[in-house]
Amino acid sequence: MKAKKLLTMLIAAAGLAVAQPDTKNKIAGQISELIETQDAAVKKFMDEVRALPREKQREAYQKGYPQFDDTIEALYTIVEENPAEVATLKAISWISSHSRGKELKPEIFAALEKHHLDHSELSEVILSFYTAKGENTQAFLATVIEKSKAQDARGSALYIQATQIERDTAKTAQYKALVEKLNAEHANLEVRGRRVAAMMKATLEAKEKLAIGKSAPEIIGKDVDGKEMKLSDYNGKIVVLDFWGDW
Amino acid sequence: MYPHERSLVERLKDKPFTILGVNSDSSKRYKKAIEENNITWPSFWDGGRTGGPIATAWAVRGWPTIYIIDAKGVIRFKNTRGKAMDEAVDTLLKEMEGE
Repeated sequence: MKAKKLLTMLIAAAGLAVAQPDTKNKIAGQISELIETQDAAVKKFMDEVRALPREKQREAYQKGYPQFDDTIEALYTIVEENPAEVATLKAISWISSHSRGKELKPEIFAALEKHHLDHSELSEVILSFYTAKGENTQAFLATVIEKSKAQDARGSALYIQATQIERDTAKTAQYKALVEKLNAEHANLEVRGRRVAAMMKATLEAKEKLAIGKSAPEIIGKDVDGKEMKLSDYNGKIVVLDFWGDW
Repeated sequence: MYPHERSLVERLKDKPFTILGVNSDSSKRYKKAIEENNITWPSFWDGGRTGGPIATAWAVRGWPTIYIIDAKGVIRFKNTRGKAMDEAVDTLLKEMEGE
């Protein structure tokens, strides 16, 4: 009797040991399926819109763009049921980048802080906060910068803090400080394959050169037929310099 | 965009004023746009892409982006459009006449 009970326990334990990777794969599979289904719906829709005459595209686009709400809710459910599971980070990134600037639910930040603060993949999640500007997002970014042991996660948090205030003219000094810090501590941080710290610094320097009251830097270029043109050819005239495109 | 710019150019044709474009279209599309919209003012052609050398040097991130530069080459207004663009140009013209 005792031996039989022990055997049962052993089998149960073995089953549990096997069940863990299974559960993990199942969660990852469920997340991938939800995302792929939604992405496929978007692709199908976009193909249909592009097949329309150009003047009808805009209306069709505004009217029929696939809604994300159901997919977001389904992903939230999976994430909330498995807060410690690394596979959910992909779902969190997707939710965030498809929520049109709305920040994540507070319990998601709590789960990220508790279970994934030092995980290297946290960096990707943070980069999905590009347009999310809520208080909880700000608090979470500050926590990551202060406490995370993952270098890229800290770098991404600084990068997102910076991009969110880049256009806010009241926060120019704060923005400059963040760009300096990124260059000092995260020069190798890559976002979509580009080293962003140096890029941001170059843009910042260019903007300072291009402020109202500064001399316009010379432009030497060509017209579409290859004829050379210079901005200084128009010295003595008021110039409306118009960066344009017919799109 | 185009009708307003056309009327501004027409109104100030005898004044020290020009619109100077920096175009980011493909050469084909650019030529078509010039024809279809009767664009009479000059443009730099920035290599057929939004990341072209001039737009990059001027840190342009959105289109259209407008700079208004006075006769001495100083940047005086940024992203001034529509009626405000006319007023800005008129202000600079008055400055020149007063000197």
